[in-house]
Amino acid sequence: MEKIADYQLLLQLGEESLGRTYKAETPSRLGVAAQYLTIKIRKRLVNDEGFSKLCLHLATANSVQGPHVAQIYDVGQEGDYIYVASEFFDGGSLEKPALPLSRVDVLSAVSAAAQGAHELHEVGLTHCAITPGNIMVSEPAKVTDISFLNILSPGQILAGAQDTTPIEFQSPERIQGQPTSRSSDIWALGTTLHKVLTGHSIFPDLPDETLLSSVRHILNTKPIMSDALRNGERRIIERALDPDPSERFETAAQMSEAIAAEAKRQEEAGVE
Amino acid sequence: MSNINFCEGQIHRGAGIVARWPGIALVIAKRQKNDHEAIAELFTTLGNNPEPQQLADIIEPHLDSIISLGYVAHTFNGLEAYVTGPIQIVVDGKIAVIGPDESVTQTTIDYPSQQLTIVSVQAPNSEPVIPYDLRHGVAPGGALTLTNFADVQQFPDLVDTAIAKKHHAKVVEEEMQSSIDTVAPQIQQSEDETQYKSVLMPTVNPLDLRPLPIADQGSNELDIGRVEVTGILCPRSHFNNPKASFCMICGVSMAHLTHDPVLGPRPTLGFIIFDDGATFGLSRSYAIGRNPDKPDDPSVEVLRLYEDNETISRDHAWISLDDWSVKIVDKGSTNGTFIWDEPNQTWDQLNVDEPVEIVSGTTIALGRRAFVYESVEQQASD
Repeated sequence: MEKIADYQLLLQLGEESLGRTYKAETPSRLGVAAQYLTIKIRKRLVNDEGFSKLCLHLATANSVQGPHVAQIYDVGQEGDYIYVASEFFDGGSLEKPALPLSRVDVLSAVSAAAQGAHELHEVGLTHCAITPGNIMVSEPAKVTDISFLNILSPGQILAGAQDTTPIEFQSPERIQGQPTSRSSDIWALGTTLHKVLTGHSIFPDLPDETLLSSVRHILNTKPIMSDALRNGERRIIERALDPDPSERFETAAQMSEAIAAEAKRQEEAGVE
Repeated sequence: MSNINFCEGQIHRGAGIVARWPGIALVIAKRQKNDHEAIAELFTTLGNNPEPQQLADIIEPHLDSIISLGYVAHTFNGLEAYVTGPIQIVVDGKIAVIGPDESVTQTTIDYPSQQLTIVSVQAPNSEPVIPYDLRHGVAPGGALTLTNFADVQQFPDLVDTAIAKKHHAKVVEEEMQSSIDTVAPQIQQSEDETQYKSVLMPTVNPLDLRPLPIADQGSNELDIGRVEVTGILCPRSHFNNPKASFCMICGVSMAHLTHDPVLGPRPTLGFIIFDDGATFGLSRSYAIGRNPDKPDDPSVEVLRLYEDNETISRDHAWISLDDWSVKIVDKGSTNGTFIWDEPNQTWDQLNVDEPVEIVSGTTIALGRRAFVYESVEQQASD
């Protein structure tokens, strides 16, 4: 694919089961100063009502009071495809950073992402898809790619076998079909923090034969903390991953503060 | 803001019925002959934990047989007062609402600082029976006085939170419905004359949503169709299927418990995983098809299924939650709905409009698509 609508696609940034994400040149009609933007394209048949719901949902995400959520510029539909154009980040994501990051940088980025999640919660939304790939490295770091799966298909938990949100980042209660909440995003922040600090999943033995076997594994297995974690990091992650959602951090802002405090401790201790 | 939940409920003598639930105090003051069945039906409909916001809607179909009823309910709009028949609501010594005969008065009143009484107009000065304190339940009586509001401030506003949690999803839905007309996509044409729709985000007014409730159970999901069912509580008060051997939440054994039935919102029964990995939670029923009509029943959601060879009918099948069971129903599809019979290694076609209960692990085929049903209950007890 070279173009959609009036967007010239320059570079493919990612691929999922339902579509692709590209770097594109910013059309002048948007009135946006940035030369480039990120455009997410999904093959999806959406009627007018579904398209309007999607626009309202993303406009609400855009209305957050704070700098920790990536801006969305344009939502559109061409044929069987819908697209979402949003802010582009030179620094890459925590999954694929453009430059090496120190441990303190990583902690600070996840702290900022938790603040971004909190900003969404304060306007009544959940992110539902927090992963290392959706935390963009900038100053400050921002969360991007808010999920709209459940807006287009109420009740849907996972988009597909190659979901944009790998199943390990979905809270067990969410996999069971419970509604999304502050605490389900807090779980995702905990699993993300573990992954970016250690390089390992909290479910190291997650089977990959079928999605069903993965789901069964997560619902019947406790998360395993890596020995590579420092004590302060471990305490934060364990609290975020408490099986009882009401025992997790009450808000993502509280989790953000705890991570920021740990980053400060490590910075003062000279941790690389 | 105060609320009406952490005060005493003192019952007055009388031939009526008084009731309290979280956020609600209700009195049926004047009885008619032979109204037992109507009252029993009303309380069955109200259940163990009726919704303050929906109380009037629940009650009104029963008013032909119930001639004198009043309640106060803690709603988003404040303290709602409702009277029909010769009944009055007295707040801190002053009549706030007085009911005319044969009509309904529904209004918002000030929260009491000292005392609130729901009482018959004919016996306004009756004294409460002390020391009985009705907090949650139904009892015989002629009037109900809520008092000792001074203690309210000592408690966290638990019920406000509970109401907020339950209603957040509904607010999202209503906001979306009322705002959909405001999104007007621009039809654009690119250089190669391809038409596309575009909505610039700064031109769209966002939904005016409340912050998500603190702690678990809050939702931005369109989760407004939860149905109440009868279940049992595990020792940690998790709501379960009466037939469950283990709690579906904490996994503790349910054997050797006295299984007192209680009414509660039906929890998620499991999930279905399609052949492409798309996964849907079974907290609601689904009308499945290429483009099914949105059912009138709010507990049924549309599940659109795509298949290039068009083997899926427009309205193909329903996954239907019935009490604690999951059923599949073919809705007259062209290519049929099939259940995999593992022992005989065959696909059995369903008869049209005949629901068939399915168990965890069952594979269903719709045209050339298939899904597996997994029960949450089995996960916990494995």
